[in-house]
Amino acid sequence: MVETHNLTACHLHAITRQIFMAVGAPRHIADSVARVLVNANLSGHDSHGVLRIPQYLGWIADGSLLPTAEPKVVKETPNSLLVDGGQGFGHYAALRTVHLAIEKAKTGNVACANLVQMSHIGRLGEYAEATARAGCIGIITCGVGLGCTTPTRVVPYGGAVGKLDTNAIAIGVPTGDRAPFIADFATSVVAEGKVRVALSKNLDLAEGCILDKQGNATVKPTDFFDGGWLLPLGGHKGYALSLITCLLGGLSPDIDLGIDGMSGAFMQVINVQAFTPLATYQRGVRAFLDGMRETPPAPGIDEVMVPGDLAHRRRTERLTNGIELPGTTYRHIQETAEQLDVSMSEGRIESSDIERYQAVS
Amino acid sequence: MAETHNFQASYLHAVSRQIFMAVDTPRHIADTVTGILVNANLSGHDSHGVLRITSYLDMMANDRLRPKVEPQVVKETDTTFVVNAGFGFGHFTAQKSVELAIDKAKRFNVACASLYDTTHIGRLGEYLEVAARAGCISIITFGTGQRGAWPVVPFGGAVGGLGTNPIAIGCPTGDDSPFVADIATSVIAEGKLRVARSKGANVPEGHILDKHGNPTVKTMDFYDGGSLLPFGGHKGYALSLVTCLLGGLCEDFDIEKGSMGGVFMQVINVEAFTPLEKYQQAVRTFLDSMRATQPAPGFDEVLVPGDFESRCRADRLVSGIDLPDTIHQKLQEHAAELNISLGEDIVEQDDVARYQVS
Repeated sequence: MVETHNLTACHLHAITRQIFMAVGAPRHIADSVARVLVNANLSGHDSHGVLRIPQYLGWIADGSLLPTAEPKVVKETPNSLLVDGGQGFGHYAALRTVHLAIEKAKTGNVACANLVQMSHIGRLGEYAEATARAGCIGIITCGVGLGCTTPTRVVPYGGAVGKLDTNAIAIGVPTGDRAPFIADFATSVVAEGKVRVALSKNLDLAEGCILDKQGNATVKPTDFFDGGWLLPLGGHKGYALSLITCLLGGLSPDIDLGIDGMSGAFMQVINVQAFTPLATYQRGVRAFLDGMRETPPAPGIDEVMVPGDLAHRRRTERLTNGIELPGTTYRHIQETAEQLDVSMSEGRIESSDIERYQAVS
Repeated sequence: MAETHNFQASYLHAVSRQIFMAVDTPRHIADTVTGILVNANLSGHDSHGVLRITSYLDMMANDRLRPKVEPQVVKETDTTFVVNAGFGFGHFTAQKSVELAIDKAKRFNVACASLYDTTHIGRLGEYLEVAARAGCISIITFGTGQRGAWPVVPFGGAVGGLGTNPIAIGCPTGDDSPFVADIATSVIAEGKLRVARSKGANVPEGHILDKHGNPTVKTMDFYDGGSLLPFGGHKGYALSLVTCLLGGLCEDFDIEKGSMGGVFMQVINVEAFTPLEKYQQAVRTFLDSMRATQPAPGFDEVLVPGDFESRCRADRLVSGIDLPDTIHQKLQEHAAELNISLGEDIVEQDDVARYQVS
């Protein structure tokens, strides 16, 4: 049995906020970042959750993440928006950007935003979910290509050298019920985290996930960590999608290809009401998705789900039973808190924290 | 070697136009549809080229394609519109729609369109190229879905419920090779299976399921009630669902049947964000550096989406388009039935100018 620690979402939120405030983040930014991290844990995307705190503190310490930075709108029309994240928390900048884009879509029906010069933006599904909850379809991409500040571990299709990151795409669609449609995936076959897990368990990967440093197909995790690479999803198809995340992310005129690469986040928000009454559309969406769920499962599969189902179930479950943190993650947070003289006591939970993570009845 | 016949693009254009006009298609529609079919051949996508003429004529005979219909914009704002295609030529509807979306994007930076009652709209890359040449990024999806219908299974399912639902994205580069990615969300298209069946060949693992939902490599298992798999498992499944959900924006869904689908277009004016020239320069540098990647063992070179098409086009504009004998015979039969000439003199000056080598 692996040692774990169980914490409620509101407790984890309070701890995370205190830690970020202790290293200079203003309260509203610390709250935003904590929300995105804890929501990632709740939805089962632990790799994008509070596990990241020590990494962010490292970046703050070396000056590459500025915890007080406010994103700035540098160019704007009624339907488009260019935002400079000022090297601040990407989560906060992305939340601000998606809300501005939603506002524009509410008045102008469609809005696009490009967000650049921000730090890690976390789980893209968070922002896709924000659009869906506002009655909009959201397409969110985050791409890094050729950047020299972020690793590029994914090879172009047919290539022997990585030039792209695991560039993600998230799409949210309103359904009118508690589980919006949220697709959120990387354009590599597997994330580096999965290779790390396989290595720690001394297991081989499935074929078609990684290359060794010479560009040969391999299933050995050690080959990846010895200078190897990740493969794009579905060959040329995932490669094409990955390039698109870069081309959309690189719309800013301030991008320096030599430093940033063709990189950035892009958000597209479409107000459903511009096309069809929201309630009618959502009824159609629910009927369609229910039809997919009713598909007889293939041998060996329990049920057919649609994107967003699993995250919604985990969230419901974890809101009730708490979030299990692995011992190492918990200790890292504990050590960080001690160094910063931050109390991990449940007494630091505020009533607004509890409201934020009220279990849906 | 199968016998082939070589034709210049301008000649094929004239033949195709004459055939469509002989079945009551107005000249401007016949020219548009023909241009898109011949361009598909030039781009190396022969499955979307003049080969389709026969099936369009069949559809017209059954009143499932109405050659005279002009698409109607039935709902419109500055940045959005809905088009009733009225079962006219899908190519013509899509062409008119992308032009309107570009026009709106030029004025309001971004535009979205949803199209319903379209027939076949041909190669999506065509409309991406139009947008790219106008300095715009474009996204076009075409989705159909309904439980129990269509060949592609939802991830984990034993029975198909989705079409091969393509998603296509284009980006301007400022040169002759725009970035054009056009991907089906199934691992393979049904057309490839047809080829495998005709050769009696198996397909690789992970492409198809038999009628019980078990993995198989036997092509015939697909034709015996089997289904296609989405590419990349749950990821391709998610994208396929998205094409249906975007397509359904025009209210093209049936709650009883649980069906949803349609064509969706999104056009983004690059100038809303950054000067086009500057952007295109960065895009070219970026894509060139992808092309410069050292190839992996077994690969000759690294390409970017759109390279294949622009190479084919450059080659076939000069060397002509090779048509298999079967297709050539079909065109001759249609011409004979419709009493139209296939002489070289049907080629007009405009046709030649259209396919001038640049």
